[in-house]
Amino acid sequence: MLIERNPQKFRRPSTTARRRWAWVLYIVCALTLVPSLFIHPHSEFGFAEIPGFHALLAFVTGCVLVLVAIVVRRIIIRPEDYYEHRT
Amino acid sequence: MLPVWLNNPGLLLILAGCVIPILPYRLRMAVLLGAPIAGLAWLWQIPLGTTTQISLLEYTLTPLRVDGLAFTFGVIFNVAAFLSGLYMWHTHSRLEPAAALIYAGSALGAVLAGDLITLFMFWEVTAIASALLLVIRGLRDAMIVARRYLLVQIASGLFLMGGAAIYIHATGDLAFGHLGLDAPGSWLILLAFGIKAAFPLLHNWLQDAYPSASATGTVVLSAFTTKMAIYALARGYAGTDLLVPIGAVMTIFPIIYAMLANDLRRVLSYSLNVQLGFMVVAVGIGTELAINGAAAHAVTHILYKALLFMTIGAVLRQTGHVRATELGGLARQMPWTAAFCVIGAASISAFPLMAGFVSKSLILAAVAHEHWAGIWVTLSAASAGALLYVGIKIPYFAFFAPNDQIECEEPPRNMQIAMGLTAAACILLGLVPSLLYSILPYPVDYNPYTASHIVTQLQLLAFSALAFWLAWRAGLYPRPKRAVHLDTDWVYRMLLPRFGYVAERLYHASLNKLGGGLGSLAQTGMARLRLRYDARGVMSRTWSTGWMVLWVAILLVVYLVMYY
Repeated sequence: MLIERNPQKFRRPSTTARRRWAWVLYIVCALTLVPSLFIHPHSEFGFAEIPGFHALLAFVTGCVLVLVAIVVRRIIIRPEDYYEHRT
Repeated sequence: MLPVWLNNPGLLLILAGCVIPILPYRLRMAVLLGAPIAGLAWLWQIPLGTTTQISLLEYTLTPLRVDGLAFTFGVIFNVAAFLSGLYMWHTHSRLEPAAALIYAGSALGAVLAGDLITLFMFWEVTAIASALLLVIRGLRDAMIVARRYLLVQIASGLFLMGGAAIYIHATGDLAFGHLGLDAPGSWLILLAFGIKAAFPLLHNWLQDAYPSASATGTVVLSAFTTKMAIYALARGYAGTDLLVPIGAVMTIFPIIYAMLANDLRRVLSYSLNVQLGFMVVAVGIGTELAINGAAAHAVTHILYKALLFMTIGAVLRQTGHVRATELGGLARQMPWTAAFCVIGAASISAFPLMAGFVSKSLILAAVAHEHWAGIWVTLSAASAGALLYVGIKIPYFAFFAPNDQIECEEPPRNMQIAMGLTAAACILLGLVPSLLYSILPYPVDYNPYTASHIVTQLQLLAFSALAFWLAWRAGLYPRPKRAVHLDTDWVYRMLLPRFGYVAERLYHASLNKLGGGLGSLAQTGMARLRLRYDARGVMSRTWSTGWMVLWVAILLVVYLVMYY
């Protein structure tokens, strides 16, 4: 149910909080890279044994998916009542 | 001693579902929860390798066949029926628990069926019972969706019937074992399975129907139909190379739709499709490790997907909203539901210590073992993408997005218990994978918790979160919009009706033209006929008998002459 604005409830986090969480994320990302300098994964594929391969794969995938989604949305988006106005 | 045809845990659930509507509330709920427990206990004590047979006309049916593969799916179907029953404990509807149990029982029966005819019968019952789950809601939109859904499901059943008829006619063998693509009628059967497994371009019934069911109904729907199809594929088409690229496509393209969709249950439906892709790839590879992976992934996937549908269903029930544009900020008001949702999201993203991790890695190991490098990269990318389209998206938009407009409280206790049990199962299977591996079709010699595997998985997750964050901050990540995103249902919701409309117009126009033409033709024709045959026409003059005799004589003479 919709109510009047209630300051107790969930609001947009402050900029400093956002920045702090972003730093946490960057540090976690860096930390996951550290062990791959010492541990050599035994993969069936040579390319998967490069240190940081999975990190690169995930990052590139994420970026590509977002970009493709932007383009695809332009093509396939229709108004909300699209199917209600059929001939 | 039971008659042979009754000796089947699936029929137990179906019969329980049939008596439910006439029982009072408490007894109804006892049956709803008791039947899956009894079914599970029954299934558990049947020794592997058991089959029962009955003869019908000149055929020998195998209504019950319990082997490793059937056992895995049978166990998880019973567990899913129990959890979804608990989740719908608070509903006072008589039909919904009945439809849910009949649906679960027929899916169980299909998994335990040893021949194509029994499989077909249960296959059709799942279609009807699941459509009933959509119809029960009684909304006009849901009715329309249910009609579309039923058409697709029945089409799948017809293809199965046609394929099975060709196969049985050609081989004289009813048994549902490995078919492969060379068997007679097997393309039709593959099409039937492919529709229910939501192959690319055949998939859209799923995202059309699942978001339209009730909050409780979607949880039931998400568990059975598609996994029954995965079972059937694993039984009939294990090791069919064609399935590998099909599955790989399935793991990628629904991601885009899941990122764009606004309705959170639609997001989950698309992500369900992605997870099915993993299983289809594993079935296509077909080694023992891969089939184990497909079965294990079906088990964990049923659990965490049901958990996610349960949390979003709880949100829908408590707030009346399910679209990302209207939701947000519920974490403080529904802390337990939010926590369960995060566990489900972590499971589907394959965080270490969660259920998704131990099953998805089986599939990836099987793919790597058979040296499908491109497919392996695709699946790794898809599992990295999971964080983007569901792992972050679902919890964020439902529980953590800034929104102070909604006031609500936690869902009923039974919903919380159901979610809690499912979440506990997700964590338990993640912590103790041997529990999961012990019910798989083949013996498992695999340890997901190696240092390098954990590290690479954490890299995958951290960096896809980083990509998400950077895209979000740059304003590139597609924000939810109240809009329709076209999918293949456009063909039968827009294109075909339009064709129908144009055809109808053409028909009417041509009828007018043609009708006019025919009319004038008829008039001239009648005028000609009148000229000859009406009261003053040539043919209706009264002639004297003598003239007639003369003419007959002349004709006879002519015949005679012609004979000579």
